[in-house]
Order: sequence, then C-alpha cells, then structure tokens
Amino acid sequence: MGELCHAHGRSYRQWRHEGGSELGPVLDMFGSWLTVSVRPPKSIGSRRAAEGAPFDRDRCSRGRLFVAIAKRDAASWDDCARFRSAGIAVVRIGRDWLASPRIAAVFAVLAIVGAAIHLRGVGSVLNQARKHAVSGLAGREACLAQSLSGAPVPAERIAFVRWVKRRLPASAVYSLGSYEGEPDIWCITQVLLPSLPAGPGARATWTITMGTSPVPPAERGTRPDREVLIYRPGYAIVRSGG
Amino acid sequence: MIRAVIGFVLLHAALCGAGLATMRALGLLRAGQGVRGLLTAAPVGLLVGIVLVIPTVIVLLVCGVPLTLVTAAIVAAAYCAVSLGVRIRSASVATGSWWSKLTSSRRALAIVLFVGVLLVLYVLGGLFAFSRLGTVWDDARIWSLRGLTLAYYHRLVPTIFEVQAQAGGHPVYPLLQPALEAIVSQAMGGPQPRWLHSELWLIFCAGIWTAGYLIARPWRRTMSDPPYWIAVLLLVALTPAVLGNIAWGGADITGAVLLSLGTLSIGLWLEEGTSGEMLIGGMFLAGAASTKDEDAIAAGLVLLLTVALHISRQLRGDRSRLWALATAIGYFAVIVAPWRIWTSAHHLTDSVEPPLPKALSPVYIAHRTRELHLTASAMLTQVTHEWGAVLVLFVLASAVSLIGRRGGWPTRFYLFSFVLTVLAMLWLYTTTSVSLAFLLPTSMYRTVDMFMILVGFATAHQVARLGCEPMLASPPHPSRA
Repeated sequence: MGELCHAHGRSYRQWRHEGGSELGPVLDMFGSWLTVSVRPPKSIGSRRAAEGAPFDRDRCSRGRLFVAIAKRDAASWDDCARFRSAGIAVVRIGRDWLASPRIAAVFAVLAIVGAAIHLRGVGSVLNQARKHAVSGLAGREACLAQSLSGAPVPAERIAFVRWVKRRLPASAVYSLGSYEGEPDIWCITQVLLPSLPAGPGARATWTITMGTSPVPPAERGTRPDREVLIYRPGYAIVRSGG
Repeated sequence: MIRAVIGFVLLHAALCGAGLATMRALGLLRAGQGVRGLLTAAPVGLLVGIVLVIPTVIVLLVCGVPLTLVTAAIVAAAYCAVSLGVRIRSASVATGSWWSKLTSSRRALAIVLFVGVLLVLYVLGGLFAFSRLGTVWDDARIWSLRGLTLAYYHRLVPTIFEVQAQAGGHPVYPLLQPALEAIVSQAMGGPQPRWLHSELWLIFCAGIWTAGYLIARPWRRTMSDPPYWIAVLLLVALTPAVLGNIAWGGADITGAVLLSLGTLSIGLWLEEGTSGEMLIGGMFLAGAASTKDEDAIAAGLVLLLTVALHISRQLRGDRSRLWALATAIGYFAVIVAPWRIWTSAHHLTDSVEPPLPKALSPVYIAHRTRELHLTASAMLTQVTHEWGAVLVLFVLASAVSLIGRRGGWPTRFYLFSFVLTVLAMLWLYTTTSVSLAFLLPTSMYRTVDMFMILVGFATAHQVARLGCEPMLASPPHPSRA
C-alpha cells in the first residue's frame, strides 16, 4: 500500500496547462537526493500494479497531481509536509512494511489482552457502585464515617452532626471552636452546608460543642438572645443572637 | 426527579451546542453530514463546550460575576454567536464513505449495531451506577465542598476559599470541577453531589469518543480499516484503570482526559493538522490547567514543548501555524492567569506545593534522593500494575513509528510529553514537604492517570496510522508557496 501524504493541489490537467512551473522549487529542494517524478494518477496505479502490490486506484484517481518519491527510505513522513508549499500530493512508492497486517494484528492482540485482563475489574467496580447505592442525603453524609487519621470515628459524633444539620438554619454561621478529630472538619463543613463556618474574626451565630467538653457554663441557661440545644452531655449547639 | 433529569439533559445540550458551534468555526465539524454528523460530533462538542464555558465562567467569578445558570447560558450563547461569525479556513476532509462501507452488508450492519448497542449500554449502565454513589474522600473535602458552596452562594465564599483551615487542603486548586458541579446542581434544581460521579463518567466516555473522532478526522476514509478500530479498542481498553477513580469522585480523571486530548490535538496539528486542531488543543490544555495544579504544570510543559518543536521544525515563516500557536497560548494565559492572580492576592498556599525557588535547585533535589527513589518505585509499581499493557503498546507503537520513519514529529512530541510529565510528577513528589508515607499511598494510584491516559491516546493515534493513508485536502500555505 502506498503512503499518500497529501491529496490536495491542482489537477494534473491544470498543472500541465500551466507548464508544471510549480514543481520547480520542489525539485530544487529535493532533486539532489530524491528521485522525484511527476505522474498522472493513472501511471501511478499502473506502476503499483506492475510491482505486484495492491493499489487502491480509487484513492488516487481524483484527478490530482502526484509526486512519486522512489527512494522511500530517504523521505520521512514529515518531509511530505514540505511538498504542501507546491500544492501537490506525494505518494511513496515501494513496499511499506508498516502496512503489514501482522503489525496491526500484534497491536490488536495486545489491546484485547490489555482490556481482557482488567475486564473483571470493570465488572467489579460497576457492581460495587450498584451495591453501594445511597440516597441523596446519605450520599452527602457518607464522608462522616471515613477516618482520615485512621482513628475510629465515634458513632455519637456522626449522629450528632446529623442532628445538628436538622436544626441549624440555612443562613447560620457556626463555630466549631477548637474541634479536632474524626469526622474531620472538612467533611463536617460539607455536610452542614449551606450553613457556613465563621471565618477568623467573624462572629458566629451558633456554637457547636462536640464531645470535647461540656457546654460552657456561660452558655447554659436560656435567655431571650440565646438558645441552648443539648443532644447529650458534651454535645450541644448554642445560638447566640443573629 | 424528572425535573432534575431534564435540567441535566438541557444543560449538556447547551454546552454541546456551544462546543459544536465552536468546532464548526474552527473547521473541525464536517459539513453536509446532517443529523448523523452532529450525533457523531456531539460528545466532542460537549467536551469543547465544557472547556470553553466553565473556565470562562470561572474567570468571570473571580471578577465578581455570580456563578449562575444564567451566567453560563449567556457565556454559551456568546460563544455560539461569535462562532457563527467566524470561520477558519480548514482542510476539507475527503468525503469518505466509511458509514456506507460499514453498513454495506447485512452482516456488517449487524456487527455495527451490536457493538453500538453494547457501547450505549456500557455508557448508560455506568451513568446509572455512578449516579447513586456517596460523596467520599477528596470529593467530599475538596471538590464537592467547593462545588456545593458555589451552588448555594454563587460566589467565592471567604471561609471556604480563603481560610486555609477550612479549605479542605489544596486551597489553590483551580475550580473547573467545582464550578461544573455547581452549574450541574443548579440545572438540576438543587445540590446533586451524587451526580458528579455520572458527570465524571460522561467526561471520560466523551474523552474516549473525542480521541477517536480527532484521530479519525484526517483519516476519514479509513474508518472502515482495521487499524482504526484497533485504536478504538485500545481507547476503550483504558476504562478499567480509571473506573475506581471515577467512583471516588476526584478531579484526576477530568484533568487527565483534558490534558491528553490537548496533547493529542497538538500531535495531530504537528502531523498534518490545521489551525483548528491547534486551537482546540489550546482549549483542552486550558481546561486541564483549570482542573488541578499537576495538570496545570503538565499543560504548561506541553505548550512549551510545542513551541520548541515548532521552532526546531524551521516553520517559523509559516504564518498560519504561528498564528494558531500564538492564539492557543494566549487563550491559555487568559483562562489560567485570573485564578492564579486571585489565589496570590489572597495569600493562599498549598502545603503540598514544593518550596520555591529552593525546590528548583539541583542541590536541593540531590539531597532528596530517598524521596525520589520512593516516588519512582511507587510510580513504577502503579503503572505496571494497572497500565502495563498500555505502556507496552505505547513503547511498541513509538518504536515502530520511529523505525519506520512514520512517526516524525507527533511521535517525538508524544514521547517528550510523556517524559516531561513524568519528570514533573517526580519533581513534585520529591520536593514536597508533606510526608511521602502519607502522600504516596493516598495519591499515586490516581495521579499516574495524568500521563497514562495521555499515553493511551497517543498510542491510539499511532496505531491508527498503521497502514492508513490520510486524505486531507489542505490548501497550500500561501506564505510558503
């Protein structure tokens, strides 16, 4: 199979009519080290046929002008691009072992083997995805059960965060104090959205106490501007205005 | 539920429309193919729409414009309008009859339909399975945390984006995936973090399709040839290694797919391609750089490599190619710079970032040979474990291309891109101040996706060329005539 770099340019008839002037620069460029000949498509087809190689004339019979490079080894694929300047097509003549079906077969077998090796893994992942299907709410809270540090996540904290989420208003700005541990603060922040954590220097309208210490004495009791909701000892939320 | 699904479909149709209009303007959409041609190009259009609209919306967000569905719609409409007024002269692809060849006999038609149905079921099955997964690990703490915040507040909320302690780590990571999640959530009527997994699956499948589409474009007449389908098979064979990462919801696959498509587009441009391929390559690379820091570094390196190869090819006088390259680099800078300026202005730093400029010093790196060894070992183990076959194919295809003098610049470009990306990853891991005992087990299994998907796409391109003959009908370059 020949290697056709370009099938653009003027028709053979047009080129003949113009006296073939366009080929001049190309011959100047390559003539010293390539055997360049200009042929109408028909003759290329004939030559291919004479060499005993199958040639798809349909691919080259579009009335284009072609340049045949006889010394195929001298021209790399990239050289073909240079002929673009003259607006002509290039066909490399000669046996092209890269077009061998054996090469393609090797790649086909390797690709199939590569896919087959992991086929079981594909089924497993999709099956796991099916098995681990969760509802929308549970999906957002899934990270609560994950531990970044490796330490176990206390079950009461997970339940508490869910409890807090049901009670915090959407516009709440909360503070977790100096909370550390599992579940991690990033997961809690995500779960409690659209309520937002208070930034440095910002005033929180809610304070969340989570297992680290009892509700501070100052926060106890109910005042008009303050509301304390206790989940269990050590777990509470305090609304302080706003 | 029905409203959510309708919103999901409409949003993707809009993104796809913007992408298709842009492809048409860039001369990458075949004319006269009717509905079948549009359907064939639709997944490509979706990805192009995503890498056009979402990064632009992020730039606007940084400038203070709310991130809403209306903003996204206006941006998409603007791109459509501009695209309708622009038409880059492109190669007219020879009109092959691959479809008629494939469907010329009942047997061939039956095979095509069978394979087509299997692929559709595979994509839909994955879409359904992934749409019901929980939000876990980095997805919960980085991507969906920001995505949901953007969905609720439509702006950069200081406590989420500016305060280190609340930023969930990696506060400087770009926002393409969170912004996409926010837009999808808004289109679906409310926060839908579970659907993020389906979105990632869609992006990956569309990426595979896009790679095949781009590879097939200049080889249109050979779509009925075996090598093309071997390339397609190779692309599909990439999926097992990435499914787990899609299930976890990270941004690694998104960034890797966009980076690989950008590299592939430029590889095609270096080979025979038109300005359209370079420009779309720049868009994909800008999308990758808007996804993760690692991808941003790799995308920058790929662009630098492109410039170097362009210069070494002595094609500096070729104005159309130079114009395409310069435009792609300009677009990349305009899209990537605003977020970086914003993070700098807010003094955000990432604990994983190497200490600069010290980390660039050879002396510093020389003192961290243990880290380098650990990273290289982990990388090699991961690559051989999950990507071994793809790597072998890449090496074989590159060798065959170079030995047979078929490879030329694209093969060299892919090889250099691969090496540069691997070196960049090695440098990042070797010089970071974060403990590798924590970092390697928690990230290496996914960060290798970045260059291995690239390897897969590059291999597919090279395999597709075996025994194929491009039939581009490009006009001669006026500057060189």
